[in-house]
Amino acid sequence: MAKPMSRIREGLNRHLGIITAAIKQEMAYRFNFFTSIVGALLTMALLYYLWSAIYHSATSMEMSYQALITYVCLGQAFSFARPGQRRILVRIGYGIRRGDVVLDLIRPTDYQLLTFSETFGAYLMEIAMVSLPSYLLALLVFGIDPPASLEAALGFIVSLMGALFLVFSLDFLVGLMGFWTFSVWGLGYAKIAVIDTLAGTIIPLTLFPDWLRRIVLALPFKGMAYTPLAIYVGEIEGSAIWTSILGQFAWGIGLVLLTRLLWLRARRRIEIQGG
Amino acid sequence: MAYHIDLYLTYLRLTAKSSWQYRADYAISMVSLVLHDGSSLLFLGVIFASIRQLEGWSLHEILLIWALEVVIRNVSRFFFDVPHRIHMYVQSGDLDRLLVRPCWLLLQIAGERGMSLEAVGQILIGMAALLAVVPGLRLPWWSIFYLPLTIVSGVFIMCGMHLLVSCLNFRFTNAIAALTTVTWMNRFGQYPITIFALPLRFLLTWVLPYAMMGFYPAAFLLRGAEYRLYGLLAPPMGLLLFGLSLLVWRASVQRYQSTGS
Repeated sequence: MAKPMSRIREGLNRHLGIITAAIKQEMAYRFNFFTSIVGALLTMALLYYLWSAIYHSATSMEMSYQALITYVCLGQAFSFARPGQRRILVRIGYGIRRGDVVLDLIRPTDYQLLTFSETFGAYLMEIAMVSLPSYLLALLVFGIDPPASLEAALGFIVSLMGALFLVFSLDFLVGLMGFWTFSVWGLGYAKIAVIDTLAGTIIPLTLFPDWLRRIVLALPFKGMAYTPLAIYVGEIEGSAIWTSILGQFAWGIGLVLLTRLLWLRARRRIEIQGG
Repeated sequence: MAYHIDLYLTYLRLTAKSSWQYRADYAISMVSLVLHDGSSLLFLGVIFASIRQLEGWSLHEILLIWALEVVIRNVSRFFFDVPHRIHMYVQSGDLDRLLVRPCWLLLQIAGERGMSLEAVGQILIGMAALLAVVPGLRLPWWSIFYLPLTIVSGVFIMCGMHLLVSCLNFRFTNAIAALTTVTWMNRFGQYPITIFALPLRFLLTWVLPYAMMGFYPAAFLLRGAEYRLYGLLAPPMGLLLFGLSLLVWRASVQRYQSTGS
């Protein structure tokens, strides 16, 4: 009876180890965190002035000024489109390309789970070292709003986790392209473009023209930025918070399973080439 | 000089050949990068669906600024993506290998790794945007001369600015971070700088002159007298900045001590 329990515990311990290792690895690049904060603040400044100008030039807008500024600044603090984050994506892609993935495959753990733990560790570091400091600075410098309500704050945090799931599947998918192409580095730029626009990092999806909004709201990308940000500023409120988070997790789990299938199929290619 | 030009063209041919070996990968990178720059177009499209002018600048006027910035940045990367490679040579001591050869260092670095040919896609969309908006803007006749001149001087401004920053590599191990940040600021150069606060405007004009690449030349063509001074200043500024960066580069190399590894 005790056996399954101890196995689960063992697995958890193992993955905690991987997460800690990923955190330590990130620490080796700690100077990059500093650059990331400066970069985040600069982009925030750019978007702040840009959106202020847009707001003042518009006759009417679907969001209040304060909500708009909060949305775009917060979006930069917790952005999944930072150039530095390509490190993980590139690691997966190049690992596959150069054959280092073999070392990961002989480890006594599932490869996808392994990369997820690594991504998770790196992401926790990113939150602590980049997102939170930039967020605090945004509160002070750009005068953004605190969460719309206690529920919004809670929803934001949960929804950020959902976003991580989605971003992880996207990263993993792009990483898998390493089986076919050397250009995982280049694809990283396409990923940034998708997250910046279709996910609503630099433009709240609320402000898209009607027909375009209907399309992007039906796609899973919105969960990578728009959902958490809109919850924070109160664009999504009440019970809609929890239904949109549910949708986000449904997409997340679906996409993780989909990439898993792809991975299982792709893995056979290594076995063939290894012969 | 003829020898160096010949060598550069040989290097360019070699880089093109090696890209051709991996043409599928090359195409994927190119398209991804086009999407990256193209996302600004979606951004502009969406915001101009709800506004007619951005603090007095029309969509087409902003597209002119945007297109100039995109073309200049990518032409620079196509021919001279050297500043972003220097740290590799300094940190590894690889520069020693280049120093003993009878050829300009910067040219060798450009030849080995410093030509990003995948930028051609972005150059093309930038050019396409220029050709699309220029006829409708009713620019003065001399813009036929001024626009190409602006692109050339913009390339000098960008290369000079980035080369200057990359000289920090000779003193600090983490200088690439500074260069990354400076490079990142290119986006500020895609919009009319009149929307920014005064300190930022000063920064973008005199310290990191991104505004001298796209905005001031475009504003000079569109608004005339109001921006004449800056518009006329941009071309000589390119030469000045690039010349200065070459001097600093020479001095840095002369004081360079190998890592010894």
